[in-house]
This record gives sequence, structure tokens and C-alpha cells, in this order.
Amino acid sequence: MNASTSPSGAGLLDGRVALVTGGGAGIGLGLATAMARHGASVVLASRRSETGEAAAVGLRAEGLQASWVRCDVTVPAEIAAAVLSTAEKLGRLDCLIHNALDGSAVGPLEEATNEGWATLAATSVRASYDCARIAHPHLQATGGSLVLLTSAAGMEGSEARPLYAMAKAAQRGFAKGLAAEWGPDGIRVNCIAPVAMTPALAGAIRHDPSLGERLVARAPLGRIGDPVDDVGPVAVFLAGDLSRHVTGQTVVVDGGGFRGL
Amino acid sequence: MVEAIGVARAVGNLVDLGDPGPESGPRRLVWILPTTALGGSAGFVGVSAAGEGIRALAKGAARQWGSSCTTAVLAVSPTLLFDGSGPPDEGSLSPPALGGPGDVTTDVASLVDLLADPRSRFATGGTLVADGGSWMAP
Repeated sequence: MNASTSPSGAGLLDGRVALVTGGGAGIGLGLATAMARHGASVVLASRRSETGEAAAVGLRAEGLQASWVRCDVTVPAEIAAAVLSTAEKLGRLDCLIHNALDGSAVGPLEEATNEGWATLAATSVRASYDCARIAHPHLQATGGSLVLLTSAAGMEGSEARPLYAMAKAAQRGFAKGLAAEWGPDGIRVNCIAPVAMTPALAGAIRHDPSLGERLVARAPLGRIGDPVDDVGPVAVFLAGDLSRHVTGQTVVVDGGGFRGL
Repeated sequence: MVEAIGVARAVGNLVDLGDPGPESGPRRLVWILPTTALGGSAGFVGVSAAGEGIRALAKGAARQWGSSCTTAVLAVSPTLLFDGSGPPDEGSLSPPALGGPGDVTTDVASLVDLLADPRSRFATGGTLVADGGSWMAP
């Protein structure tokens, strides 16, 4: 049995609907898979059908409820269309997870360009705002949950990727403020800060093998997490009723590497 | 946040000029933010988003620049930075230990002096909370 499935076989998210941006691969697909295995109908929102549609087909082949919708999170109209089609086709929206990110802006601060920051901010902070405001009425109707993907880098800063860390921290600050604002509406807002073996991380490790060694050495649990079985259960928790009194928080899922909160 | 990045880049250009020399001492970049960045506040999500982003920028810059330029953040009561339309103090269930948010001249300015002083350079990248004992974090 996978760690992302319930020991009792009962789904913690039976009847729930979740929309996951950047859901076609990596962390997003891992979270969606875990939620679907717990009974949720998941909608994978991504720019490319070759990954998103294929991922949804893969989940359906497993007997899970999954579909794909095209969504470029830098275009508010596409977010609105994704949210609306989810709510119309599946009847509700219980959880929106904003995971998509174009984090290609790397390097020292002095070399950062306005264009690089604009792309990073558009897919992280700005898209968080657009996802939130567009999903608000649907999440309020269900007493739902908004989850943003952040990073420990946002809490400890990054020498190699200072603007990435800044954007991830801003999303966390956004979540804390929104949790305070949306509590009276019955909507919870939380963050997940994962380290997991995704295709992107695997590529980075191939480029720099010491990165993998450093990540493993840092984590007391001694390994890099799995998107489905290590990070996914936290999404299941934050999307479901077990976390009904949890809001404004960041759950770091990295094997204990970052313990600074 | 764009302005904060611009400030950091400008300072980074100074860092690139090399060691400032013994007379001027190490460079220091200090941001002053509201404690709203730490906990968020209803109606002011932009303040907490920008604040947390700048705190991470201060950490990243500190890691990148090392001893060439150190950084610090001073977090103060939002009532000192905004007029009546700004976010409220929301640090703790209890009132501030010192009774209030403090005074800019008598309470906060001296801490800016402290953080701007090169002698405090070994505290780099961190946030000092100066709100009269409301947050007491971390």
C-alpha cells in the first residue's frame, strides 16, 4: 500500500474536488495523485497538454477521477476558465493548490533582470493572488481550502536563487494575510514547503551531483522525499477536514532538513 | 518588492567595487518593515506578502555578499509606519510587554543606529523585532 492511501481504505477526500496548478508533473502531480487516491476528483491545470492530459490519463488508468484543463497562470482569464469549468463540470471546488512556477530567474542579485523577476513574480505571487480572488466564491461555498507551494528557501534565503526565495517568501506572507482575511469566510489558507524528487530536481542533480548529496545529508530522515507518498499526504491533510482548524501555517515536508520555524 | 530588488542591486553594485576599506567599515543594508510581515493581517495581504519577500531578500543578499555587505531587518509596529489606514498590531493575545508600540524617535531610532553600526555586522540576514514585546518571536 502506498503511504498516500488510507489504511482503512476510506477516502479522506471522498466527494471533494481539487484543482492543482502545475498539476501535469512533479510536485503538483504528486499532490494530485495522493488526493485522488483519497477519493478526490482532481483537475490538473497546466499549460501543456502533452504532460497534463497524459498525466490525467495515467491517473484515470489507475481508476482515479482526474481530468486536465489548459491553464497558463500568468493569464487571469485562463485561471478563471479553469476554475469555472471545474466548478461547472464537477459541481464544486473544495481545494485549490497553486503549485505552478516559472523559476528560471537564478543567479546573483546584481545579474537579476526586471524581466526575470517579472516572470517569476507573475507565476508565483501574482498568480497566487489571481487564483485566490477567482476561487474565493467557490471555496467559500464549500468551506474550502487554498494551498500554496512555497519553499524553505523562502524562510532561510538563498544565495544561489535570491529572487526565487523572495517570491516563495512573498507567497507565504500572502497566505498568512489571507488566512486572517478569509477565516470569517470559512476558508483556510496554508502553505507546503517540500523537497521531493521531481523531474526538475533530478535534472538539477544530474547537473550538480553534489546537490543531491547535500540535500540527503541535511535531512535527518536521510533521503529526498517522494512527491506522492511523502508530500502528497500533507496536501490530503490540508485539503480535508482533519485540518479544519489549521490556517495560516506552513508545513515543511523535507525530511527535517529545515527546522527553523 | 521591485523597489527592494532595485535597492539590493544598487548595493550589490557597490559590493562589486570591492572592500570599502578600514575607515568606512563594512557595508550594512537595513530594511525597516512592519511586523505585519510576520503574521499577516486581514485586508493587508500585500503588506505581508511584500514584507516576507523582502525578509527573504535580506537573507539571500546576506548569504551572497558575506562580509562585503551585511544585512538586517528591523520589524516594528505597523502603527509607526502607516497612518490610521494601515494594518493594526496583531502580535499577541497579550498587550505589548512595554505597554505600546513605542516611539520612533526614542525607541526605534536607536535600534536603527545599532543595526546600521558596522559593529553589529555579525548579525546578518536576520530580523530584529522591536515592537515593545508583542511578538517576542522567534
